[in-house]
Amino acid sequence: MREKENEKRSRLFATQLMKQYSGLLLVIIVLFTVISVSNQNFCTVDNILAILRQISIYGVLGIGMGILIINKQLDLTVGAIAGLSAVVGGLVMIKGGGVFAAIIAAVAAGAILGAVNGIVVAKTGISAFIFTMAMTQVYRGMIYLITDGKPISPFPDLFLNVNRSSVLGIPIPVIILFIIVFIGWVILNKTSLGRKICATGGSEVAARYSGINTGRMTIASFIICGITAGISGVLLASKLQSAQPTLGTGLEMDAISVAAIGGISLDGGAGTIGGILLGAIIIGIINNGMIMMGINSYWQMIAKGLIIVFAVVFDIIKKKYSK
Amino acid sequence: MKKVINILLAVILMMNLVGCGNEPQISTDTEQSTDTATESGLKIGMVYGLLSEEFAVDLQTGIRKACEDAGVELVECDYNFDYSKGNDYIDNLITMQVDGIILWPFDADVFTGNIDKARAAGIPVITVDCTANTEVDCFVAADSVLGGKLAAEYMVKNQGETGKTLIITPAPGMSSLEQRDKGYYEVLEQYPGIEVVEQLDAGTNARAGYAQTVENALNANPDITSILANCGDVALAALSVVEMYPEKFGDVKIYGFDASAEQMEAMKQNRQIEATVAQYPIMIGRLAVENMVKKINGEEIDKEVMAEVGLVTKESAESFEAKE
Repeated sequence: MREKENEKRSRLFATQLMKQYSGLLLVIIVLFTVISVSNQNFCTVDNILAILRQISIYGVLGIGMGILIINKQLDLTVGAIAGLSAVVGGLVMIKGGGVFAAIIAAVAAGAILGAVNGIVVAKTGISAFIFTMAMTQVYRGMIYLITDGKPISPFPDLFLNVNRSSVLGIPIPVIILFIIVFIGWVILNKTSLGRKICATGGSEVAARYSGINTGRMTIASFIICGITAGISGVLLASKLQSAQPTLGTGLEMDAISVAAIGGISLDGGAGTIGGILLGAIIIGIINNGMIMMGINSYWQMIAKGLIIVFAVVFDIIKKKYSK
Repeated sequence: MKKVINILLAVILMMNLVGCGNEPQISTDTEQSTDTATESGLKIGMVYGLLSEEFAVDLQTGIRKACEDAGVELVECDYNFDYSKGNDYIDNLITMQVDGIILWPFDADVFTGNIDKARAAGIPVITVDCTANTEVDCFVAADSVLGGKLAAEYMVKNQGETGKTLIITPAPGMSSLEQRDKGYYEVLEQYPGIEVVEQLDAGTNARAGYAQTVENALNANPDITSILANCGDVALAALSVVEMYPEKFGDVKIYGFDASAEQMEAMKQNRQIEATVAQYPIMIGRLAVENMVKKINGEEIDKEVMAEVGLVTKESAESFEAKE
């Protein structure tokens, strides 16, 4: 009797999930089918793993950015933070500090820079958009100063294995992605921090009047975003085998796209981690699939933008009609 | 308080746009030995497109040294891909009444207006590395077409007259990269047995973007045998990708461009970069300044000055020396 009830409950949960993400799942299924028909190399183990490994970078960052956007903030410095974190980690390794110390230093750098952003935005009320847009220059400039414009390399094999190795057939970056997805989900759905972040993003005034220290929530969400930027920096440095001064360029746009497709409203207060993961998967499939299909590169640019628009619009319409 | 901060920040952002007056000036006195040229009284403005890459740094070295040798005062600015800023810099140089402007234009069209304006004001303009779609007094660049040909010819010698090669193409407008591709095609046309797979990557995500593009292109066409990489970032991105698939892409050979330190290291370590084409940016800088001084002094100069390029292979990597 109990078992039947549990079965029913989990089936209900599954159907609920399907319904909630039907728009995104539909897009994924359509893309999958169309691309597989066009190029049989798409649906191979190698290629699917390649896509998953690629999305781990902006997927991890998308989780952090998503949580920040739910807090109704934005951080355009994440690409520069990723670069700076990679440089910090790289320097630790070059000086003989060892791989683990380097990774911890890199992620710590991300947290610190995120905190800097968060504290300034929270304490001064400055527009996060303008502030982080300007700070991108500052952080990039710091990278060039530290590196003198030259990439940092070589890295020890252990570090390179972060990208190259797999556990039980699953590439390590993908494992890291799912760990971050899980942690992000727990934070957002199971902790008071997550609830308070949502409340702050939904209505800062209401949240404040209900006793939430909204400034602290803002700082916390910037730190979370900065940490994921640091992790992305580590993953990129491991993949590209050096910390180039340009590392991380353009990453902020990828992260915002992932969050937007994933249904995170730029108005704040709404969004799910599952959506972000699906958003990352969609972008990964698009990037890979366009090349698989041999689509003319200019059409690729148009198609990529349109698919993003379609996914977001479909989501909005679905939400409207479900009310 | 919020308003004040926002205004302050807007001001700081605008200061970013202030032009060449803020850039360090290079004077020509200091430790000059007696047999070098005395101060010529000339002032040249140099507008860089970026300074964060080794090519750019070497170019700067060549320009600074040549100005020192010629006793010319140098004003430098870096627009770092911001074309609006670049145009502002040129405006400032015109206002400063410099004797000559050397420009590194990443886009062939956006600077044409100000180039014409400078020349109309009697200031000669020399472009380096990339062309502009208007008349200039001289264009100094490495012979990118020749460089592309050297790379492609070496590839054919290495892998034979059949195969499948991947070319990552730039967004239209990056003339130096387009010239290298032109060189590739001039060679590849003669070998119909070599199939070409083209994939565009505008470079907006730097090396990470190239790595993703190359990985997807390889997985889409697993029978690719070689990659013609028209710049250092593409070559190194491609290297990091093929090394992720030692069984599947362990035999793919990469032919790069710009003999950057990482590429040279990789070749010395016998990894999958077979050769690269060295430009001599110090030489380009030197030639630009020398021709500018000649032009200012009323001498006739060539419209186009092609600097040498050199093929560096795995064998010659150890003993390679950049020419100045």
